[in-house]
Amino acid sequence: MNLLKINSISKKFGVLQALNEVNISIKKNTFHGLIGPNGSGKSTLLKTIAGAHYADSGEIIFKNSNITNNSPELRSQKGLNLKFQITAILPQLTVYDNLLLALQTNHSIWELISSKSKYLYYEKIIEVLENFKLIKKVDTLAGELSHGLQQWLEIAMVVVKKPELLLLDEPTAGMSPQERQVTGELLVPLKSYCSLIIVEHDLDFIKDICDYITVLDQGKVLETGSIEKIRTSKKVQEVYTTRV
Amino acid sequence: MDIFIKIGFDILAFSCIMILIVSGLAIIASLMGIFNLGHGEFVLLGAYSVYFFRELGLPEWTGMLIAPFFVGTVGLIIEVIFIRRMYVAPVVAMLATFAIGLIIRETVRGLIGGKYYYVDAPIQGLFEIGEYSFSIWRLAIIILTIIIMLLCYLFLKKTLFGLKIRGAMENPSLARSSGISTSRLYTLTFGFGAALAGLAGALMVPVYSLSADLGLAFMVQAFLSLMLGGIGTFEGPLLGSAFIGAMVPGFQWIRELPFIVNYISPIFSEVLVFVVALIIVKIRPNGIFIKKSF
Amino acid sequence: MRKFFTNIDIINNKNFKVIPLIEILFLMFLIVIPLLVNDFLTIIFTRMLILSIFALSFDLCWGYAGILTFGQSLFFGIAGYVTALFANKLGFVQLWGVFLIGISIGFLSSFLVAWFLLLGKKTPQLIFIALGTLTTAYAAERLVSGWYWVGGGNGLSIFEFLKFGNYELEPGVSFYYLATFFLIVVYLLCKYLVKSQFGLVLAGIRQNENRLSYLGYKVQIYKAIVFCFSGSLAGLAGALYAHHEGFIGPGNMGIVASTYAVLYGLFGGVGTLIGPVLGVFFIEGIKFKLSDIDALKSYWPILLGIILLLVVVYKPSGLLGFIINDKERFGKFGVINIKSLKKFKNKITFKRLS
Repeated sequence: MNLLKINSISKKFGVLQALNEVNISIKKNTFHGLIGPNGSGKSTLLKTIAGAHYADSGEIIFKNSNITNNSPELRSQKGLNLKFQITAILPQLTVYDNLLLALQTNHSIWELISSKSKYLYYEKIIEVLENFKLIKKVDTLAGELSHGLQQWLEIAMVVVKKPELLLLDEPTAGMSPQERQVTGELLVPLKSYCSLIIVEHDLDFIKDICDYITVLDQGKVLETGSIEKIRTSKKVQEVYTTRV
Repeated sequence: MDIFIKIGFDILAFSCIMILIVSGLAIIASLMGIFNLGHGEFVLLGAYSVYFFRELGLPEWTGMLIAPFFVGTVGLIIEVIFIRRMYVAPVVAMLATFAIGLIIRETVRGLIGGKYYYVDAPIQGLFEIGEYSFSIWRLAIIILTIIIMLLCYLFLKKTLFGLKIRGAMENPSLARSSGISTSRLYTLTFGFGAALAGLAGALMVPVYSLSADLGLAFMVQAFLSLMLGGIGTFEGPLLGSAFIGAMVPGFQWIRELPFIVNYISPIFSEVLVFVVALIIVKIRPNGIFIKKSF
Repeated sequence: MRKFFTNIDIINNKNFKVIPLIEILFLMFLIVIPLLVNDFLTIIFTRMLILSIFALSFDLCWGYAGILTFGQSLFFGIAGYVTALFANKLGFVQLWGVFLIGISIGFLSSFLVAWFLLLGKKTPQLIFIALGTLTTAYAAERLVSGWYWVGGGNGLSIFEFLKFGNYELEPGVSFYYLATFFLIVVYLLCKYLVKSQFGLVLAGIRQNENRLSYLGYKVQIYKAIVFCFSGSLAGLAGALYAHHEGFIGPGNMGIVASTYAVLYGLFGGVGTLIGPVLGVFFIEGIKFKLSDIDALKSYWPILLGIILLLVVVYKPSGLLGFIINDKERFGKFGVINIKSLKKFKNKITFKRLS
């Protein structure tokens, strides 16, 4: 069964056709890589799925419900989360509070005012911090973390809610090779409950963790399928050898 | 029929003043991302300098000639001392311009007191069409504004400096890396915007009398024009200010219709302009003239 | 494993907190003032207390929810006018009524403004809210100054004293303690709100509004709630002010009054609650001192602008920024202590650590 189905999405910015009749479907518990040359529409597609842009035409079906016109908040509440390309942790809150904030989204305002949820997530947060190697920094202001740790914190913030679909926009940008390796290791266990769509320039990273790859070029799907299929595809080779 | 010419003429004259004010505000906002909350006070300063030179015994036009340069210089100084420190934090810069506006306003109030002053136009007299008479000075304002706007347009589109400004507007970091000193550009732009506001203030002071709160009213109207027109284009703010420029004297005319005049006070029609403009902005958050946003 | 836990940098146990100390000292100061000064000064201090509620309403908006409002005076003024009208036209001056009028008028008017400026399909830009509130305050000031039923440019005077049952609350010691009571209640309410998990969401909104909506928070609703709450507080302050001064005028409604709210907040230090209250006492104190000196009196508004400019440019964290560090100002919302971590230790499988 498909978790997410995108039916002929198009998006235009002025005269630029950023997305042109894109069709993708994502199965449950699979990791999906999204690659393509610069300006091929990867980030636009991700943002359209997350709700940062609204598509001009086409529809997005998530868990059998049409979310094409839903706001980002609503999509998030349904279990679809986005990690930004630029790290967007909350720098003036402690690491613990960052996660606390990520967890309390489904509480009513009254519950928040009466702080009922304050102690509810203690164990969950410690567990996630533990998994993401942030436990030592639990009480540090998030803005004081190193860049790599900030990236992990941000991934932790979206993972902690156990979303069913996670969108990662360049999760390893600016990381050292070792950090990339660890990031990959951190992501693999998610497969038990979650599907991933990853936009990434590092093809090795994609190859290591993804099950399927979609190649975008000039707003169109060039090729989609298993890693083996992409590796041998003539069309993909053409694009990558002539233009990159 | 003549009455429509009269209304149209009033609207055009007021729109021209608004255009001068708003274009300065818009160029600062779209280039630097800073909304200058002290812009109304630049207008006030322009108006005050005309009054100041008249008090010295010089003819009005000397003040009008000097006002844009004087206010422009004030703008340059403010930019270099305060605004330059705050390019990264536009909100803080906005609060700073608010404070600067407060200082200018209260200083002028200290100098002229809480009174209203009337300044004569350098060119007096009327001309007539049909049974209605028109002030020559308002006509002069219209012509001057058109000339200045044309010059600005040519400046932006044809000169190298204009190209730099447009480039920095599109992509500041790319412009910087191509060797354009954006901070110098910002300073000059801020000064230029202030100079336009000063000129507007100087030109309009014979039409609207001088008082310390003059700037506030224009500031609020200029803001609404900018919101109506949308930021980032050359034409948007012009159309927005034309729209506000039409509403202010327009409502005044409607109020003076025989059946309504007893019920609505002049202030009410002024407030109505704000209400109508805010409702339009609420309905069309990207401005009325921009068809599609992304 | 033991070493592992001692490595966690738990700062809060070591850190000494300054704000509670300031609060307690200030509270003691408030309680003893009427015993030390004469009636005239008590009245001045009462005014400061009422304005402190007004300053708190600004701090909630700008310091906590990131709403830059130049329109707090609108709610202050409307509530003041309505309670003055009740007093003048109906002769109604009961305390409970004035309290309810202040809160509800403040709430209703701020709800209207919030609905208009904050809640919409498109997320409003900061500048739209700032200038939208500025415009409404300006328009309201113009409107009342030209509306003769509410006194026009002269404003409205209240000739009767505020009543609690049959007891008349004359400006002086009794009114002072009434205002102190209101300030303390309002302060505690605000404190509770910003320290709750709701406050955590506000802290998030202040730092990265966009991020919060992707986490699933309806940011504009939160902002609107804070805006309405702070509007109610401004309304309460306005109603009390009108009765204390026996007067409310267009000047209390317009941009000048809003500017004072901004100034109190920024001068004292926004986002701390106690900062703006101290800001009121400092600014009003200086103003009171200067009003004795005729030569300086007319320059006061200019000085005000200069103070505002200097604070904005050189010390954005205000007066309290000199005393407290960032960490205390931003605050913490979750509870972490070493004991519970240790208790938890057995449940975690440390598979990734070794």
